[in-house]
Amino acid sequence: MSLLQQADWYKDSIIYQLHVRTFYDSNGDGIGDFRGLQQKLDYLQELGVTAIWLLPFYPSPLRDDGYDIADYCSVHSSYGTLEDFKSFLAAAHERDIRIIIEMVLNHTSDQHPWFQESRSSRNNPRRDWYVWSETDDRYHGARIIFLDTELSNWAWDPISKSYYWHRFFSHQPDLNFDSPAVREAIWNVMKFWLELGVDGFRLDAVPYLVEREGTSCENLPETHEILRELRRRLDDSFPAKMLLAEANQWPADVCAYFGQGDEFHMAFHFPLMPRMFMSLKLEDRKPILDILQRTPTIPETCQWCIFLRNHDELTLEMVTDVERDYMYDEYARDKSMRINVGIRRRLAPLMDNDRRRIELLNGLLMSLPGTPILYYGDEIGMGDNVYLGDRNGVRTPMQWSGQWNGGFSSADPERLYSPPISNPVYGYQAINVESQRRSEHSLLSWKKRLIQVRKSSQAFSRGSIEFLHPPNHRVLAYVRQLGKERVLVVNNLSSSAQAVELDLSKYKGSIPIEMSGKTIFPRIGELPYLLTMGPYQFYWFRLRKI
Amino acid sequence: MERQVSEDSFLSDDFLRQLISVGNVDLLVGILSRNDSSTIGKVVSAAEEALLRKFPRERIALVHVDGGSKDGTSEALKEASTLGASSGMGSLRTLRWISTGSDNSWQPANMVRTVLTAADLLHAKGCAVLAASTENPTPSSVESLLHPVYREDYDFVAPLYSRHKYDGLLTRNFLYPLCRALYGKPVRELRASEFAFSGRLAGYCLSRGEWQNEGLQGGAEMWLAITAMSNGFRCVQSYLGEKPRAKSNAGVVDAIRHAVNGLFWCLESTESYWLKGAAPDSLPTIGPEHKLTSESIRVERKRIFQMYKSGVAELSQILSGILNQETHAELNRLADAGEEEFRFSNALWVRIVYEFAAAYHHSVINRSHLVQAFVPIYRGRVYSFLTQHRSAGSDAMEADLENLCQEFDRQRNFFFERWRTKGQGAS
Repeated sequence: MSLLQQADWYKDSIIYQLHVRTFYDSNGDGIGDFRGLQQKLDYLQELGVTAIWLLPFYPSPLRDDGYDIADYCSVHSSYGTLEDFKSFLAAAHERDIRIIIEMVLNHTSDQHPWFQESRSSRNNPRRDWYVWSETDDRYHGARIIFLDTELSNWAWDPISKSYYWHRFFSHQPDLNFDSPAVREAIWNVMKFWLELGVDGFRLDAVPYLVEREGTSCENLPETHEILRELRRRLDDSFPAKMLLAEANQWPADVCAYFGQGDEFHMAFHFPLMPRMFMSLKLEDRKPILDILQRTPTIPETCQWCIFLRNHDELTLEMVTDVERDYMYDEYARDKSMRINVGIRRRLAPLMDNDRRRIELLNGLLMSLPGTPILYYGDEIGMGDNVYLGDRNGVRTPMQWSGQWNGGFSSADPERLYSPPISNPVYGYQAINVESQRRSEHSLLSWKKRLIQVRKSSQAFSRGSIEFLHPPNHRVLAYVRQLGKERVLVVNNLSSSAQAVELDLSKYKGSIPIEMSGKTIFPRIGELPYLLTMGPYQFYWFRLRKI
Repeated sequence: MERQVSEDSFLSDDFLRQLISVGNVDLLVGILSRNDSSTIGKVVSAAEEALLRKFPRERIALVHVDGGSKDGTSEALKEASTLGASSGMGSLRTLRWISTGSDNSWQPANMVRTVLTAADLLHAKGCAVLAASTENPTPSSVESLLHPVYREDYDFVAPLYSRHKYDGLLTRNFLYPLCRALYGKPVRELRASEFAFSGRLAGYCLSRGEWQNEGLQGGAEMWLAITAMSNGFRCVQSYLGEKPRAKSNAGVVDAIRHAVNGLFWCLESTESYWLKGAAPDSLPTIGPEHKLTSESIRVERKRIFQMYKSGVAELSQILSGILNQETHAELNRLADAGEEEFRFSNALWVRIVYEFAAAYHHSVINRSHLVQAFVPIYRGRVYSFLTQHRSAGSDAMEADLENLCQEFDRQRNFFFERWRTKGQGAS
């Protein structure tokens, strides 16, 4: 069965996250576009990607990188046309690649016609599509999310002479989900894209849809009811489509968004991400073990999404103060690398460009429970530019070759939406797809092989996990199991060689076969299984009963 | 009993396996125990709290070395530990205890050596040794020991306590002034049950082939301090507050013998250093000085005096082979004095100490007999000390201690001469 026909395809996916603007410019205007992206689909297929998550590409004043949508049913002119999108979508599906698009439910841009109408008069039929108030004294329990820029969740509108509610920037008024018309309009937006053929939505900022006095206005039962309703309509009309929740919360709180398998299909596991980095720096499995042991079981049809880096900062909201200080000290000693509550750096610079550590983190990403999301450019080890402001330093043009503009665009360099990385270590002359394609031992080639191996066993994507607890805490070991398929994963988190004795007695008689080289290891017996591991080395063994 | 790797190694296979599993660390804390089930819990709690609060980022090994407890000491440790099976809440890293021990009642030196070896093998930057017999340990004292070696690059940290004036008399009358005179460094607590050292010092000490020597068995911690002082390692004293009470597993006589034997043996092993005449040197001191709050100590002065008198009389023949004639005669005269007029002068005390040390060096008699003969004389000195300082305040006590130290300095050349030349006993 083709991946596209599977109902729970998202469980086995390898998702690649990108912004159209950053990937490939087909018309030489300095901005990536859908035609350019379509031209690069072969590359993504070759990499092993089975789904693409597109960051917002809608018409927008771009005051929040497209998360301020001014028109839900169109494409920003810089990225092409709706026809270009349709063509791209079809081309992706031809390659068995699913398309997940970003959908911002909670708010629109203040330039959106809905808001313009709503503010135009108190009698306008769309007046109640947003949350208006005569005072700024309501919903005190709601925290201000962007503390750096916003003083209140209310903003004064001089046109309608009243306050409107916004959980994010003041130019992003929150939609009023208590209004049936709003809920219908949002469903219509989703239906529009579903009918075009998109395979799923990443729903942004879902905890904030509903406001109630005396609450934090987050994760409210009414919000869940709205989400369940969306899911019901989705399943009724568009089976095998997927909803992915963005809820930067502790796993126990995020679980509510899976419901009884009747809300989201997938949700990000935010707290795991910083702990993978922490474990590596601490050379200790404790942070990863702790958070995964505190992660509740989720409904059978649901799946976590896990990631190393994305378009935002490496968020440190879901860590303790002590852990946050540690992360800052170890990964962002230079204060310019910090933003909001996180670190605005890419994977390779975070790892000091150490290939072994980059590989180990990717190994964890591909072997821990969940669907992995790869951030564009990390497969070749792209760098960042912390001097670009906001989080633009991790959103620079994809580096395709050592040629003009890194092969991203034929435009004059000054015209590019962002300067490409050009330093001698991470610049496009040194780090690019073309040169890495030529080498069997490049990071890109290694990554392709890793993905192949991951895909070779559904134990990784669907299996249970059982942690082993060898005395050596620098080693993180676990068994992923699906039916009779068992994969033993052993990771040395340390910068030095380690010996580890694993209690594999319950697998006595099995023969471990190292999955990348298909090498046979000694049969498992009664005694602890001794492995010696090089610095940052990891093994994936298929345990076979022969 | 744990199986040994080979005859050449005193580390068991099991302990080595545990060390491998811990891997390299920044800090190591060793707790030494023998039948300390009633107190080890508090020491464990203090150590864990200090580490979790003050060193949450560091790679840490907690090592329990037991000298053959039969009272459930190891179980008491497990019960008291909050770290659980594999990790400690509140710490960024995994924290857990590893342990080793012996059914054969290890000598304390072997226990210290085990901690040194663990620190060396795990490349610890700093290591603190704590006694499980301590009855009132505090997290701050653990931190005060570790901080100087870990953060300030010191190699040896000796504790500095507030003590009652009758507490630590052996230290006050013998260990401290003698070492200060010979090594130049005013280390107040040479024979401490809690101290810290650097990985550098651990490696150096382990490389010395002196671990089998009997002299070291009685005072490995003293040898460690003296080795640090006499080999250019950076030493410091750290105020830990009031001297913790410790449940004593050894008798008073044994304690005196071990201290005397240990120090005399140390003098021998480091003679090339102190015979050059070390210049007096100051020693940095870290932390706030603490006020003494403990209750007064009851002492049986009369009994001490009687033991002194009978001991000197019974051992007269042995003493005549150790002390020169004049000294022995003076000691005898003193022994005839009544309780009230008895005064053991600094000058006589220092001369006797030096003559005993020289006699030990020259092995004029069996060394253990020699050390045994020192005990009653020490009792006489203690009796005199108690009588003289019955109503003395802390300033007067310090002034008196300074006088004693100066007396040790004044007679130093006499001692050097006796040390270099054999055969000046009375017989």
